[in-house]
Amino acid sequence: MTITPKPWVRVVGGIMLAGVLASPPQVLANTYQIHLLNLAAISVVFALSLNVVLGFAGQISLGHAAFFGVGSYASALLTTGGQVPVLLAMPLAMLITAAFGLGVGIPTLRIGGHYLAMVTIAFGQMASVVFLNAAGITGGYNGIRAIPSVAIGTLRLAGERQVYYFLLAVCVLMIWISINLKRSMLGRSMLALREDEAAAQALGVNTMVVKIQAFVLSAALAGLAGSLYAHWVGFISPDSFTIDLSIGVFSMVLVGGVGSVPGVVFGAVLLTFLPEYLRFMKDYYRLIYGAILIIVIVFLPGGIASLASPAVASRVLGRLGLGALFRGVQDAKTTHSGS
Amino acid sequence: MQRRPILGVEDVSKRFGGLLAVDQVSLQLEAGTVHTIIGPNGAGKTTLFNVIAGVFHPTSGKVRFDGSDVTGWRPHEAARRGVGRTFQNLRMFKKLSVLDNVLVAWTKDSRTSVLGSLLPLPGPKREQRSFAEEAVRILNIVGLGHLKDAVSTSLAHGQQRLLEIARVLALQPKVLLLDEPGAGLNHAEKVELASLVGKLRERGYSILLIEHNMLLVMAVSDWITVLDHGRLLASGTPADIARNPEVIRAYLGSEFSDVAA
Repeated sequence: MTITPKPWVRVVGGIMLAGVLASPPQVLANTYQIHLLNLAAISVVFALSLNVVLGFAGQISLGHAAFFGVGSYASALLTTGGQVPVLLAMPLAMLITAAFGLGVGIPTLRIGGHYLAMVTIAFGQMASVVFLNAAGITGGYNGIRAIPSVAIGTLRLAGERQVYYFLLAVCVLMIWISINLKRSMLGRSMLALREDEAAAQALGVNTMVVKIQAFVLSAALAGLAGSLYAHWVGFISPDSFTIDLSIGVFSMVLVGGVGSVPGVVFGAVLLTFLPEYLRFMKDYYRLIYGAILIIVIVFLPGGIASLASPAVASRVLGRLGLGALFRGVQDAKTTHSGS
Repeated sequence: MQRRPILGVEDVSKRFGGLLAVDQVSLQLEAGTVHTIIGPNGAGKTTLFNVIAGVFHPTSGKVRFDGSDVTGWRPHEAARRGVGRTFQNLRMFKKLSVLDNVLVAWTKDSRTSVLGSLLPLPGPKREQRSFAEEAVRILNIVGLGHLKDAVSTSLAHGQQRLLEIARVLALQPKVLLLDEPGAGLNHAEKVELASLVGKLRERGYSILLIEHNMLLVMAVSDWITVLDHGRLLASGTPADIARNPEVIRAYLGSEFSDVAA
């Protein structure tokens, strides 16, 4: 059962959503709130990049921080050492990261499941070591400083409020690309690979090629997220690209709903803000964070996105003893549609 | 009527460690006919299918398709060149719709690049529309057209079997390898399946079938090969096989006397 809204509802809804998304720099006085929104936008781009390989193609990657890091360093080096304009450095950083994606994708072709998880963790660790020790290029512990912010023509988007619209635009573009990909022939062959590799092959899908395409595309988009990050914070060091980041982005996809574009967007925003709101708990916030992960995995294997399906919603809420709540919502809907 | 072999297996053996699953088996599928492989569980029928479809490399022997040696081709190559196989255990793309399950078969014909997949360009959209029209036409052949938007796993078991056949028909294959398409079907569904197989034969498909249900086998087969413990036990027309004393002893036994009775 899907509800298709009337055209005018979609137009009005779209305008309202655009208004809400455009308002923060004007409405929110606290710059820190804008800072979090910017971080959320980058997280959405990063999580959607992982969603291509994990959510669509069903291939585990626990080393995505490496691609994010390669994109960051590439973009930072091009703009600081190479004097390349930021808007040109971003696509170049994506190409460089894509090449890394190809390098990781090919050797992982013949492994799947847990082994692939292990190999990608190892890749992430190797990248960390290189970021730290290739001091001649990456600056080692000291990292890279004074990375220029995004400039459109002569307009430099230096502050949180200035860069907000740029990050929002890239984020919306990324969502749009993800939806298009999911509906494309390539997207469908990725989903087929995820659901049943042998059946996909029997229908003429060269699953090796699809895996490589998923890895390369996912890496390039993770590189974009990394590049956005570098030009946003202005300073990067190996600390920014550890396994914590890989697991963090993995959790965003898992909590939101593996393969669901709206779910992953929601997961990324939620898990960006959650640690901030749990900050008063000091280190105990990790406990709550972990508990949320466990609850979602146990009760909602399809992530928060699966709550959009009425059948799943009623089952889960019923199990949590909140069935009455769901029935209330359903009754309200029925009454409404009846009027 | 002059027949020509479309698919041939020549002295194929497949060994897994100490187990010789298929032992020097040869058979030929004539174009436009239904050739059924029967035999007890563990006779090597599905292993033989896997060798033909490129899932396994044969330990020895050759597979020929449409006049060329295709031994050791990969599964997607087999599918792309005209051998469509179904699986003994249903292998649906579970979370995809019925239509999407079928549309996967057009991956081989898609001309859309990776970058083109990210944008809703007119070319790829037109391509998808024409694939979808074809897919609905094929779903109608097996009688599932009205269910195209349903999630594949919401279908009844018998309908999922039909969807599996629709998916391989979408490859526009020359040869169909159907691995126990009647498994788990009730009597009415089996009758329907027999008529579908007959219909496909009339449309010119060459069909290699694995099936246990003798009613179905006798109704649709032009030729029958019997495997037992990986070896070819007998081969002949349905009438020959039904009279073959060795086959009756090894396989048909009481089950077949029940059918005859």
